[in-house]
Amino acid sequence: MSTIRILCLLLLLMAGAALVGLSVGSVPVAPGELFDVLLGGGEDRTRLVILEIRLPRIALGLLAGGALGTAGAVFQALLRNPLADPYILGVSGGAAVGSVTVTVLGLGVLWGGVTAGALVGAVVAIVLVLRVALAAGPRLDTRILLLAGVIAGAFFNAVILLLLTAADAESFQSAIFWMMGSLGRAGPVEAGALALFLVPCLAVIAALARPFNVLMVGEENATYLGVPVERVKQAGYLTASLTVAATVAVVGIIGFVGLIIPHGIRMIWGGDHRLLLPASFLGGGTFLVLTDTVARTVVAPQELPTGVITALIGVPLFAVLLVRSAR
Amino acid sequence: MSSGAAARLEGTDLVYRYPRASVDAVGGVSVRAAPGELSTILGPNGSGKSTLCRLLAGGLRPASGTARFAGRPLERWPRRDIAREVAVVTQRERVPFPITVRSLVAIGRYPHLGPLRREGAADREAIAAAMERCGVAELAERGYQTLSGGERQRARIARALAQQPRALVLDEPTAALDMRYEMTIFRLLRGLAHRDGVAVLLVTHNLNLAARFGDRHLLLEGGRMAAEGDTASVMTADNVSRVYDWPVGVATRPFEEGEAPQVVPE
Repeated sequence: MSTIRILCLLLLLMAGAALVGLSVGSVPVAPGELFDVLLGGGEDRTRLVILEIRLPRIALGLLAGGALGTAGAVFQALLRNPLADPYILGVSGGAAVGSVTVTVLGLGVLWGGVTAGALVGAVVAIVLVLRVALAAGPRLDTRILLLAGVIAGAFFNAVILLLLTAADAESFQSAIFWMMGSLGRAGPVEAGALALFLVPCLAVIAALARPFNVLMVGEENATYLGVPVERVKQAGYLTASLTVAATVAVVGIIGFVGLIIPHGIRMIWGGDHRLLLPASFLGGGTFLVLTDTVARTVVAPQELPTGVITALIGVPLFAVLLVRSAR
Repeated sequence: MSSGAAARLEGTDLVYRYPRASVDAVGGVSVRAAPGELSTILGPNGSGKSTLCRLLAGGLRPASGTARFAGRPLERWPRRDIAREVAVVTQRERVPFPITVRSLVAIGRYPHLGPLRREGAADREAIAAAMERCGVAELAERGYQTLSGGERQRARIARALAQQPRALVLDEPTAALDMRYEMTIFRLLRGLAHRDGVAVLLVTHNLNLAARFGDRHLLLEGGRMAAEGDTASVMTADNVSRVYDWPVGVATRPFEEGEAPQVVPE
C-alpha cells in the first residue's frame, strides 16, 4: 500500500472513531440523530450533548493522542531507542510537579491554574534536562540526554511524593487524578489553544522526517550522508518536548499512547518516518478517542481515568501485535 | 571522467589528538586517493587508520594540516554537497529499528534529495543499480537485521554507491567476513576504481589482498607514515616486519590481476 493510501485509511478510521465517540455515552444518540445534529438540526438537548460536551472532548482526544503518538516516534528516532516514549526525558515529571504544587497550594480552583502550573513545570524540565546534557560538551550526546532525562524524572517523582505528604485529602485526590490523565477536564478553549500550538510544532517535525530516516543508521553515518545532525537533534528534541508539554498541561499524563502507537505502525507498515510520523498522529488520535469512549461509558455515569484505560486496553493489543510480528 | 584529476581526496600533514589523550592519534600524515585508483591504508591496531579515515571524511577536524576534496578544504564544503562527492562506509553501525535493505540503500539518496524533495526515476535507478552491483538486489525486501554479516556489509556499500560518489572511503569493510565475501568486496572495489574511475580509499588488515588489488598504499605506525607508495615499494619484508613487529617473508605470486607480493608471517 502506498503512503497516501495508508494515511487515507487511517483518516477514515479516525473519522469512524470520532463518530462512535459522538454517539456513545450516558445519553446514547442514534446514527440518524447524530447526522441531523451534525448537519445543523436535531433536538436542543441532543445538540447540547453532542456539540458542546462530546465534540470538544473528542477533538481534544484526537489532538492529544496524535501529539503523543507523533512525539513518541520522534523521541524513539532521536534517542535511537525502542523504549523511548514522550515522557522519557522528564517533561511529564516536570508538568506533574507544577500541577501538584498548584493543587497543594490550593490554587487549583483558579481557572487554568493547574494547566499553567503544569506548563511551567514542563518547560522548566525541558530547559533543565537540555542544559545538563549540553554541559558535557558542545554536542548533544543522546546517551547523556537520556540519562539526564531519566534522572530528572526520578527527582521530580521524589518532589511529587514530598508535596503529596503535605496535601490534605481533597487536593491529594485531585493531584492523583490529574497524574492519571483525563480528557474530561478541558473544554473547547483548551482544545482550540492546543490545536493552535500543535500546528507549528508538527510542521517542524514533519519537515524532519527524512533526516530522521537517515539518523536510523547512527549519528556519524548520518553526518557522512549530509545531515546536519546537531541541528536536527536540537530542533527535534525541542519541538517534540514542547508538543508533549502543551499536551500534558491540558490532559495530564496519559500513558502508553506515545509508546505503542509508533511501534504498532512500524510493525504493520515499516519505519519510514514520512509515513510513521503522520500515521502515528492519526493512529494515536484514533486510539485515544476510542479508549476515552470506553473510559466514560463502562461505569457511566461514573468516569474512569483515560490514562488507566489506555494502558488496560493498549497492553494486551500491543502484546498480540508483538507476538504476531515476532513470528 | 573529465575532471578526473580534480576529484582527488587528499590529506596534507594531518594531525589529530583525541581529547584527554597524551599522544597524537595521527601525527603528520599525508595521504591521497586519486580517481581510478584503489588506495589502501595499512597498519597495526591503533596505528591511526580509522582516525585518518574520519579526518578524510570530514567527521573529525584536524588540529593542523588540511583534508581536501577536489582541491577544496573539507570544512569549506557544505555538508550535503560533500556527501554527494564522498561516501563513507564506517566500521559498523547499529540500526535500532527494523528496516528493509531497500530502505537502507535508499538513505544514500539523501544528499541528492535533501529533506523535502521526492524520490524520482533517477533516484530509484541509482538505488536499484547500487543493489545490483553489490549483489543485494534479491534481498531488497528482507529486513536488514535478518541478514548475515557479509550481506549487511554489502548492503551498506550499496548505500554508499547509491550516493553516486566520486570518492569512497571504507574502514575495514571486510573485517569479520569469510573468504568468499572478502574476495567479492575487493573485486567490487577494484572494479569501482578501475572501471568507474572512483577514488577508492580502503582501510584493511588483509595485507595480501591489499597487495593484490591495491594500486597505492600507506603504511601507518603509531600515527605516523612508515611507508608510502606503490605495491612493490611498500610491501617489502623489511617494512612489514618492522611495522607489525613480527618477522615475515615476502614472495611474489602471479594472479589474474597481475603479479603481487604476498606476505607470510614466520
